[in-house]
Amino acid sequence: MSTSRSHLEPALHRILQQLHPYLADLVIIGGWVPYLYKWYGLAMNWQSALSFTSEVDVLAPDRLPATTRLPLREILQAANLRPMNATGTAAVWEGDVERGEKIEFFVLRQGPFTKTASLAPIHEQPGLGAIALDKCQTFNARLSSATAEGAQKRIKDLLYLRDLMAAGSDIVERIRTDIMGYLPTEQHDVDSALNELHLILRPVKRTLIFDVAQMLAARDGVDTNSARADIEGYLTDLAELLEPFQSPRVQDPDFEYHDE
Amino acid sequence: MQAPLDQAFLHLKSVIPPQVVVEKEHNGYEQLTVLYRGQHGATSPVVRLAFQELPTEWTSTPDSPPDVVWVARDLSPEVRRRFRELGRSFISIRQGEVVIVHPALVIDRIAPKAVTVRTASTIDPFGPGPGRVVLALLNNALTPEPRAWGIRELAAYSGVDRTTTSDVVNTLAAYGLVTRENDPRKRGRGVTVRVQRVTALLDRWSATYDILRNPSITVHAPIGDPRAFLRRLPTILRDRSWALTLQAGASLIAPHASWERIHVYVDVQSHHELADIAIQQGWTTGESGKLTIMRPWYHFDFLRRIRTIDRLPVVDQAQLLIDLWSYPVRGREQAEHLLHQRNQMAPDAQTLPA
Repeated sequence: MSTSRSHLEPALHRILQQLHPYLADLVIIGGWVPYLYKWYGLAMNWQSALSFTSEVDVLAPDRLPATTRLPLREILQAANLRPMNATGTAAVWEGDVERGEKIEFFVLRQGPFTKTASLAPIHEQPGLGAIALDKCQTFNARLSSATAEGAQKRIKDLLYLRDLMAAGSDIVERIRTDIMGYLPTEQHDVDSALNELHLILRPVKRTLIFDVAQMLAARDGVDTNSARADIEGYLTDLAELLEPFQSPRVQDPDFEYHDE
Repeated sequence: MQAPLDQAFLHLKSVIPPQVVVEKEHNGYEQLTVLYRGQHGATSPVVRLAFQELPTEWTSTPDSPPDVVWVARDLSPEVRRRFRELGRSFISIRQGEVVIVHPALVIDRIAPKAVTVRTASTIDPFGPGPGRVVLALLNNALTPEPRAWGIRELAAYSGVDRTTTSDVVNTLAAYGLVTRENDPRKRGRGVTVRVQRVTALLDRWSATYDILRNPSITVHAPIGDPRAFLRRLPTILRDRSWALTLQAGASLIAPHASWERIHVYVDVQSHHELADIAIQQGWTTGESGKLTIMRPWYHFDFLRRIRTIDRLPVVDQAQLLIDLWSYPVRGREQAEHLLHQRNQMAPDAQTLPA
């Protein structure tokens, strides 16, 4: 895992230029976000190091009419990106991955929670799919054990959360403000996130923390013990940030956290 | 070494009858004024003697008024004979020879060998015991309205016996770190002690003390934002007395530079108890850890010297300053910022002699 995205930024620019007709409907999420915030003015005092994968993660609405625009599939193909699912719909499109030419589409999951990641269509965009993303998927301990790839992604996601909390007081305040904006409609998600954080931080479940610490240690060049203390500290900070927003049900002293 | 003037005073006391009252009127670095009241109380004449150290490099026998008593560590037989011939008063410490030639008083005696002269070589004013006096003096100097302390009050406040307190003050005076002035409230019977320059005192103090004096362990505590961790510390260290120092403590008083390491004094009886705390919390030890827990080297009055800021206990100002003064990671800078802030808040008349 590299710590510098700058050499991949031309590919990001190229992909965004190709997606230009749809940019008003799409939201960049994931690892590119802190980099963009840090270097393009919204959080220039970002203090923590950044880690990343080369792909561009994009959140799309589950229905995205082309209207007068070219369909997204054709735009992607014109940009020499190939679908990673040869049949049917594809959520992942790749060109020269080494240069950062990879894009993954996500949609917010509709309906009941499931324990496995699933592919969903983006309606009115033939051939284009998206990974259905549960808002609190990152925190769910069981998802990580499903596959090695899933486990690695969870570790990266937790490191990403750590980086957010380590980015400085301005960023943490912004997160706090954003969470306030989610309430009360997203109360369940805040409660779930806090529930999962408490589970991750429980002493008996520290193996996941250890995995994240190893990734941080390799990235930042610190010893594993320091990295583990760092991860535990910042995730505890995040839990404390969420606690004032938890629902009264969870604040009940008789309430017990549990695995989903 | 103890100041020669004080040693000479002890010699004088040892050669006169016990019912004769002699006392120090003003004890400065260069001159000691002694009152000799005689043994008949109010009817006895009062003789005021000015003890002065004889310059090391003197070339001719000094002229002097009759109240001056020349003090030297070791006068040769030839010099002592010459002084006698000229009617000069002198005290030669090594020989215990006390010669006072005054219109109202004549003494020519040898101090008994039984006289034990306390030497300052046995007093480290910054040691864990005598250091209480220095901490008290410095804390007093840092208050908006410092009290005028004599030896008695200083001894009572710091919880140190008067002899030791006096020795500490004498040593600090010899270093030029404190001044002793006549106390007008005591009609010539006492002195008040003041810190001359806070920064000079801290410089001298830090030559013998730094934060490493405190037995400590450094641990990998789960610290993200250190300020958030501080809010958790009261729960973690519940049932114990503790206080923050260095940057974490100073940040609560006068925030300056960013910091990430937390130093905490914990009131424990032994180093092993520090390890127990780490084990109980599941913290591994390691020099790269961000939390250092310490048993205070200046362990006395630990509870009394804690103050609460933003619901967190912090060591008193003197301890905070001396801990910061020689701490390599921007400690001096933070300490000077504290002093600067203190001066800005103080009325002009109370500006610290930094």
